[in-house]
Amino acid sequence: MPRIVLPNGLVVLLAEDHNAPVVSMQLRYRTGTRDDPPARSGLAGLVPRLMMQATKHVGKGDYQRMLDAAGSYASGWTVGMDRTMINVSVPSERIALPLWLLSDQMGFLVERLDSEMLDEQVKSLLNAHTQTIDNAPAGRVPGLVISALYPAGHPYHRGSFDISPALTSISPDDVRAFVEAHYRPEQAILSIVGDFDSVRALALVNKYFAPIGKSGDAAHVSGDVPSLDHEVRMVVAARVELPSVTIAWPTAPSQAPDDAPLDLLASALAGPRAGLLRWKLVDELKIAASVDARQASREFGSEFWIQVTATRGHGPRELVSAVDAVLGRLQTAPPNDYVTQGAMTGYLMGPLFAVERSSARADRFAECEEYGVQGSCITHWLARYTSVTAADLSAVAARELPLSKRVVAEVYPSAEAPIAGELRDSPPAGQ
Amino acid sequence: MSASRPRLRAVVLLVASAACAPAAGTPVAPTVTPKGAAAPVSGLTPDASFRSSLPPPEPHRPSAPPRFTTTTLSNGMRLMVLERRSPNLVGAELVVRGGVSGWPQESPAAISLAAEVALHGAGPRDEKGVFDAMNRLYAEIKTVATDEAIWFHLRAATKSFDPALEMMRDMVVAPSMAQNVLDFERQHRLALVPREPDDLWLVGNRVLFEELYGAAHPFARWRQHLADALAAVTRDDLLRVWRRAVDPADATLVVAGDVDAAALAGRVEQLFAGWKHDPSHVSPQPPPAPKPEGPRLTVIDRPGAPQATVLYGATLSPPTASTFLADAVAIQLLGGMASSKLTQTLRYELGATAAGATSFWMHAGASYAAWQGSVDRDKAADVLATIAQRAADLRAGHLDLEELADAEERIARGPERDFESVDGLISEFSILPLYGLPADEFSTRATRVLSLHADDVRAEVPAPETMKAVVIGDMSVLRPKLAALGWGPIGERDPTGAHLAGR
Repeated sequence: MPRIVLPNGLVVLLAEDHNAPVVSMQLRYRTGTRDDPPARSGLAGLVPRLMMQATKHVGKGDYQRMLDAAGSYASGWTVGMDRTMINVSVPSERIALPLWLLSDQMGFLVERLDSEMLDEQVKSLLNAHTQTIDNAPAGRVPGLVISALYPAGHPYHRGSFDISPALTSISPDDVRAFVEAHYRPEQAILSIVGDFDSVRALALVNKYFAPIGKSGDAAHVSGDVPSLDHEVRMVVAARVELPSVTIAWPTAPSQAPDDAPLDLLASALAGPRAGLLRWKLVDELKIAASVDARQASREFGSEFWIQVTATRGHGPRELVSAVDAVLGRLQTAPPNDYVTQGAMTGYLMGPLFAVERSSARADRFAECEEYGVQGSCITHWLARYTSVTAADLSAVAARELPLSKRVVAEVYPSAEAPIAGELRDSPPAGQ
Repeated sequence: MSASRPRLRAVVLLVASAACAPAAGTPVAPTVTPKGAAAPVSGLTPDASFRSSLPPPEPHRPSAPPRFTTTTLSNGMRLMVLERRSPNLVGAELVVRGGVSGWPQESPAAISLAAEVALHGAGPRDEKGVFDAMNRLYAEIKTVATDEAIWFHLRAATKSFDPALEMMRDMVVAPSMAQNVLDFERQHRLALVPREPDDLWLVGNRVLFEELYGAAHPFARWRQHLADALAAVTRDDLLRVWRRAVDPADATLVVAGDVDAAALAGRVEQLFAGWKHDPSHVSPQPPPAPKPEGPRLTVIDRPGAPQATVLYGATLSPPTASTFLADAVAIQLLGGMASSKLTQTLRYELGATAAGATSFWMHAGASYAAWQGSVDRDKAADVLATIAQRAADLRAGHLDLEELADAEERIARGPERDFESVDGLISEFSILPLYGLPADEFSTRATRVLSLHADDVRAEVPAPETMKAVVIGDMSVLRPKLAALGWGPIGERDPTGAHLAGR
């Protein structure tokens, strides 16, 4: 099964699977919100919306209409800090349709752009921002924490969903320049999985994508893995029902040796099978209503997050003390087999069954290509986890999660504060 | 690391190798450059005539839904098996009809808790023993009670399936219902109750169910405030509801994946032989007909909310009704498809929402659909008016035949996406025993959908005056424009979804 590099630099991955009459594809651009110009943040979130609305040869609203008419499902896009992914699944006989649509997005968006289209999509983006940040309970907290973890000037400092006020006044030319710099074939991976014939598919890919021009002078941002030399504490008041605390550390970047152990550490702390924090804070001490932990992996540095919501009568500082006691023990003594195996199976079962779907495999293969994985992608992915030991979990907790170098956001309920929260100098009176 | 690590790793790699089998292969070397490819170019992309026309579809290769075998065991339990040799994974779902709505004389909280507690200790294993065994087997079992069934969901590598199924059997037949587990599960749920007002969709759907089905309807009842009911549940309650609600006569085990159907039938017969049908068992009652009540429009006050959260729904035909597929198509036209005229109007012409859409959920007795979205609060009334007008237009026969054809295609081909995975097969095929649908449900679906006439669909679009709207947001801001809709008195609720005192 070939990996093809078109002369314009587009990497194409083809994996036939005739289990069901479905073809899934992912077009992954190696660009995201990290590439947003400082005065134009939000552009990366805008581009896929524009791509799905109209391009030179596809009329306004016709992208979704044509996909729906073809019996498509699971079409959509995702914008992260590092990448933008457009996903489509169609009945297998319609394989040419998404290739035609995706190639028109890559080659012919800029010629179609106009102010009316731009205004519509800016409104849509602002609505999404309000939904995700301003109307979400304590919705500003993740952005505040990210800004404290990554120094000003770092490509991640503004978080994944920052929108500059200037976005409402950008012109089609601003967008054109951004698109021509970042959404070109040499910055993209096209991963196709499912019920198709590779020779025929390759002919279609060549027809639609090979003529697309390269950028030639794309600018790539870069950033160092950040580090903290002290603890940053912030107090947030929000119109929420219960106090909570968010604790975050800057951690090893995606695919680094500590990355997979940190995924499993999160599962050991708060996963469905293990749950050292859950057992202690929810079951035993009864000071927490819920506990969550996760490693958010990124190219220029990751974050490890612990989020705990208190039960009535308990507060953020009590939660932090209890979390520290659990982490302190884990940093000095490996967890037992029950926790270690529970963390591993709890983390892997979902993805293992999900990867049966062609859409999940298209995503996994594109990720392997992005990170230069050699050999069998899924075996490589699993091996990163199955080689982790209990001692590794303890060591990575000590190395990556120092209790004195992190960001702690204490969130206090306040009827006077915005729902999304605002920074305060001290906790509200009486709390 | 423990001695168990090599075994765990072996199982994982066994599964991994299956997932990477040639049929589902990984694209690796060689890297090639296609012959005759155009030379690299910089800058603009040259246009070409082929870019101006929609590519024609490839020849359609007819495909049939996966075949399955059905067996009835000696205790009355049914077994459905879908064989799929690769990859090396098996999924199973034991569906016991009834759920929290099937036993009106029992507390919904007790049935819901019983399903959760049953997972945490059964047969010879206590809670730790259950999870330790699942970890060592590399298997996963989950249990849950929903409106219409108690579900036991199992996923395992082929080699682990038999012992995992035996564990699941213990949960069905001999759950410990331990007091300490009941106390923990109850505590977990009660601890989350104070946070509910921050979960807009939970509170919104709770109120929408009350308005659509009636507050006393079982679908609405168990979504209402459960704190008191949770606190009152005893271990005896769990044991009683289990005896009443879990009987092989109402149970079907659906298995998909790398199994041999004939061999499995014998093994399942053997495993479940001890689970006897209780002759005094009464099968669950079908849910009563909805009795919608209350105002056409309700506002849940959320002071300071910068946006409005809108739910606007209707009850529809149950899955067994002859009109069900026409309902499903109608909902695609009423905002179910991203390309529907309604969705395009709300998102781009009105600029009111980023992702609002209509979803459709099957339910015995009466299914339901609701448009749900986060909306610019100044346009919440416009959104409701636009949806109501579109429903009225569709009912009046203003259907675009091209849009109708798109909607039918989506419904006709919808299940195919699930036929590529064990999880998807289980999900699709378990609805057959749940709703008593015929064995040819999927093989005839496309024909039935594509033979629908515009009038069939038009007649199933909900009448706007029968639909119920719930808007969550700052009441002081929302009220004037919502009142101007002229939809009658507006219901007012507090952030928990409770009626505002004195109103």
